[in-house]
Amino acid sequence: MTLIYQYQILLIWALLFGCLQNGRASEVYAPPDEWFFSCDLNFPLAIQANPNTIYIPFKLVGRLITVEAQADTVSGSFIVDTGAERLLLNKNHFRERQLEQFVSMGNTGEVRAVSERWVDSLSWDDLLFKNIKANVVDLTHIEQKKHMRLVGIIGQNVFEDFELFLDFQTQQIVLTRLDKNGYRLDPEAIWETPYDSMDFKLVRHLILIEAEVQGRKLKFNLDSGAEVNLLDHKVKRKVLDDFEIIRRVKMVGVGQNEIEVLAGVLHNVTYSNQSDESMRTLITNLLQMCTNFGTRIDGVVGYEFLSTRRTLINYKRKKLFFFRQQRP
Amino acid sequence: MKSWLDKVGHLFLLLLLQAVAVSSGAQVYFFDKDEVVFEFDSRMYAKADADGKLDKLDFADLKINEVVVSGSFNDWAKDGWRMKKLSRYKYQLRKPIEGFSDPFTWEFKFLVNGQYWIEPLPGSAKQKVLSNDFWEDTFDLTFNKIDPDENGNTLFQLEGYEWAREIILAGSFNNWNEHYLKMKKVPGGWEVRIDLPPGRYEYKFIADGNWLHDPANRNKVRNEHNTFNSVLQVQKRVTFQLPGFWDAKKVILAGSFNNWNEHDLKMEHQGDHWTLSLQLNGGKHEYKFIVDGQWMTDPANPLKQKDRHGNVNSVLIVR
Repeated sequence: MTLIYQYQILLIWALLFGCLQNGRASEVYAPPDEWFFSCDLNFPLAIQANPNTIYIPFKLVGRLITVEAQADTVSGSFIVDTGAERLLLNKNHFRERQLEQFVSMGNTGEVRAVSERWVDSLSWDDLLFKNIKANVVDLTHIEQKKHMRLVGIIGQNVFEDFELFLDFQTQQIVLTRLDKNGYRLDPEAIWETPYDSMDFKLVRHLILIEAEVQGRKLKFNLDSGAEVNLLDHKVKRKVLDDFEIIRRVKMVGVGQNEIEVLAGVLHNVTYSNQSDESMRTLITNLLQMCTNFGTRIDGVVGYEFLSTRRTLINYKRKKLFFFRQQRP
Repeated sequence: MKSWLDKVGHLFLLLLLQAVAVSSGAQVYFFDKDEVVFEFDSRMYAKADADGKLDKLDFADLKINEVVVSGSFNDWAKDGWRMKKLSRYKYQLRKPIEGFSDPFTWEFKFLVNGQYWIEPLPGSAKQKVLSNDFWEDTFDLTFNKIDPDENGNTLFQLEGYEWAREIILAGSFNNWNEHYLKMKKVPGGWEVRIDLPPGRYEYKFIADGNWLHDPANRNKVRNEHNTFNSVLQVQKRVTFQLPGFWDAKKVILAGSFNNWNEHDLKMEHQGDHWTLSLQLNGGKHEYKFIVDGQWMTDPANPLKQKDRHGNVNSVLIVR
């Protein structure tokens, strides 16, 4: 019954829109696209072996994976963050740029065409990722914490059509383009054979892997932008038997408010065939994250997981592959 | 004619909206005297989640009847904390600050029409990035600890400041550690020698807690505090070799490092190969040999890359 009712409302609105098609915005027309802008991204330090594969060297700032990149005309350090949904640009460096671009778009042609240009898919041309949808946000807190000039965060919409190989041994990221079934388009790329693989679930942009501590199953989010592991404070009691508390700390959270967290080490975590003996972890409240994504998330694993493995992420086939450390 | 006017109207409207968007900023809540002010701007949010499901809904399709602040401080109540509509897109709610006793539970979301939960900020897990001090204090972990090294390749010097009790060298090479790398007092000033891999670094001196850029180094950039960082390029000597071509008259090395100059860098014939040594910056370089006017890639280097004109060049990474 309610379904029919909803459809009726939709129909009414559709009719209303039809009447107002002369371009007069109706009351409900909120334009989310204005908050985005599209930009071109390229990696000046990368090597492009062929049109489908690119090797990007990375540096660690603390335990954040950063690459040199250029978004439109602004270049500098970007964090590679699988926990971010899309490309985020620091408003400290893009405030004027954003307006400028907007004006120039208006001058070059039909304004209505603008939103059509803002596509999620990427085209490829000489190390250039074109028309990537980006948000401008305030990243001052990271700049201050890490004493760095941060231009942006590279999120999942940049690399979702690629296989993302995070290779801590050679300190580089390899992006290789996938076909629609999730297999490599680049037949020439010489790859080692993975020794292990693991399935994951994709909830929106989040990679969720299943882990086990003290025989209890946990859902972890794999997030390359997490310097430290996070564990939800509401996790099953038994799990905490393997948590060794180092200290209780006060942290400044969003908007200057203080939050208290427990810092320590989580021991004996296993994920199918993989395992970690000890991981630096904060126990905190992940409720917000869970409700945002409509699923239970018990924890976040990042650097602690990735730095000890050579990990390849395939978003299309929803699989992680692991490669052996190469002996020099 | 009419459609042209329409377009101009659109452009004007969009520009106006943009101006509003920039000036309003992306603040979700802030403090005003004794009050906590929550602000909701529908333009900030592209997608909404229906309660309990993962259905995505574009805001363009959503008629906003009411916006409610719901969080751990009001037991995630779906009514009660209704926001006041300020303008077409903006909603606001003011609450006295005493109501927020427990700082741990500062978690909230916006609930639109009693059905759609909106996350307040993109990327809300702010705790995943820690300050260097936090790492050191809590996990006893210092990043990129660099010790003074008598045989290091880089000497940092600071003239004067003889009154200072302590001078620290901090830079991107040691994650700006403010305590670790102490400079040594020498006649007329301070110095420290360290070993750095080739690359570009930014650094500053800290004289008894005061940050200053290197007065002797003219190469500096503005930093996030709107002061200056000094910039240093650590170079590395690299030897290029081309075996064979014993009967060639002239072999030139050209690359991105000298703007592909076709005359500058003449290679020397030594024994059975041509050779040339250069000081290069860290990072990626592209190059080619010109043997008697013929351009060629380095036959001994498998790393090659096409440039935007379609030429294939050899690639060298200095690190």
